[in-house]
Amino acid sequence: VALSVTFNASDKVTEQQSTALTITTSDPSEKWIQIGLTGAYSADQPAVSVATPVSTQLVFAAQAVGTQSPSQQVELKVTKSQNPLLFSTSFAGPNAGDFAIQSSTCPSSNATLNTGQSCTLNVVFTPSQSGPRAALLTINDNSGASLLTVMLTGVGAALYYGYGYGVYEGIGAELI
Amino acid sequence: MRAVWSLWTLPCRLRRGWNWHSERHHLLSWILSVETARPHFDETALYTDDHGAAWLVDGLGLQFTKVSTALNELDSQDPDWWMLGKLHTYRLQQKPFVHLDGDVYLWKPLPPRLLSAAVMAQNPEDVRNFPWYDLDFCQSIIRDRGEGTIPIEWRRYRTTGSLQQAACCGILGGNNIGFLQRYASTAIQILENPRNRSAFATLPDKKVYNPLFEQYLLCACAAFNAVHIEYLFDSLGSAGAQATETGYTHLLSGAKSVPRIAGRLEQRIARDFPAYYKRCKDMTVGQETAAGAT
Repeated sequence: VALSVTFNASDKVTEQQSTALTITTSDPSEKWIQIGLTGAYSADQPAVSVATPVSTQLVFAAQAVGTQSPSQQVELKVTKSQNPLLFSTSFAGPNAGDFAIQSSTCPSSNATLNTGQSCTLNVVFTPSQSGPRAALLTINDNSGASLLTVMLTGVGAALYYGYGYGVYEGIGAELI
Repeated sequence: MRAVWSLWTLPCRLRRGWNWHSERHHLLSWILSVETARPHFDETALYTDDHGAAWLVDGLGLQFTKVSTALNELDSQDPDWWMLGKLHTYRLQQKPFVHLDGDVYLWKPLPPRLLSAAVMAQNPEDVRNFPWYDLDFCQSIIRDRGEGTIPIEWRRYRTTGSLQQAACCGILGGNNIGFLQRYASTAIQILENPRNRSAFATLPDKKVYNPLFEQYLLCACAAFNAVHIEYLFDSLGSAGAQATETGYTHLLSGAKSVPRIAGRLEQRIARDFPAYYKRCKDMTVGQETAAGAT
């Protein structure tokens, strides 16, 4: 399970704001988990939105374990920035290693984006195991601050025994 | 020895564990499986339900020495456990047999060493190489949420410390009928137990574990009873390498949906079995391709 937490600085005070997120579980040995959250309003904080798709979630179709999916595109648009932006990306969550940026037009060096400009990330899914898979893609600015998170989900499908999404050609197919 | 096929249609009708290129190609495969094997056996038998008899016998016109609709009794079972049809068929056998999957084609007779074996199967596989043999997970489901009992054969096999194997059951059978009946009963009891059914029902995709209960449990029961399993091939890799020489085809899962293989299957039936092909086409008008089927 991956949770996406956002901070809305509605009070517009620059002092750091703190709270805690408490998650209760059914595990008797760990009945709750508490995560500290801090954030602060910044008038200079840049903002990026996802232009395409319309939500901040990418859902991949069932994909054979160990094989790479077709890429899905995330178009990012700089909606507010006092300075030109550079981007970096990172993956987190239980199956972060199953997702990757195949290609990107977002500037990570030697180029910048200004307000109103956009770029695209092409994300691919390569499930390492069968079953539901999930991760969070975080888009950071050049200071490392998180600008946006995109939820990534997919299903890993085994190659054999009724999970025939793969390209395995069986035994002795050439005899037919 | 008798050649036996089984078709429990509920999983097919609900597309559970079904990944043929199209319904037509599913039926074409049945024609090829039965017609390639028939010359090698004195008797042939089909265990199915009313739908299966309507498809294969009334519709296609395939001929068997015996047709049983005993699998009608599985109507209330969970279709995700698609191999229950096979397990029930194994348990119903009263004399030496070899069960052939409907995607197995015997171009040549099975070798005598298999036909005389106590138990025969296609090939062993190392459970570490396949994610569906998740023994810890399935044990925990049964122990913690289900009926609670792990069969002694399974427990002993896990603790022997030797290589943990499963037996690929594209073909399965043999002469030790008592053993095969007991093994099948053990697997059926696990899967049909109401508490285990409820426990596994909480899983998002339990059908991935079908091979564990059919194929791992077979090796566990064989080890526990000191019964030797004679394999047609000594590994999955050998099966691929020696298939032509052995005259054996098994369209394992994904192969069923490969368009090039489906095309060859259709050409082969049209050429070698034109009467069957016409019946199959008549039964599947408009179902030539597998739009949306997986």
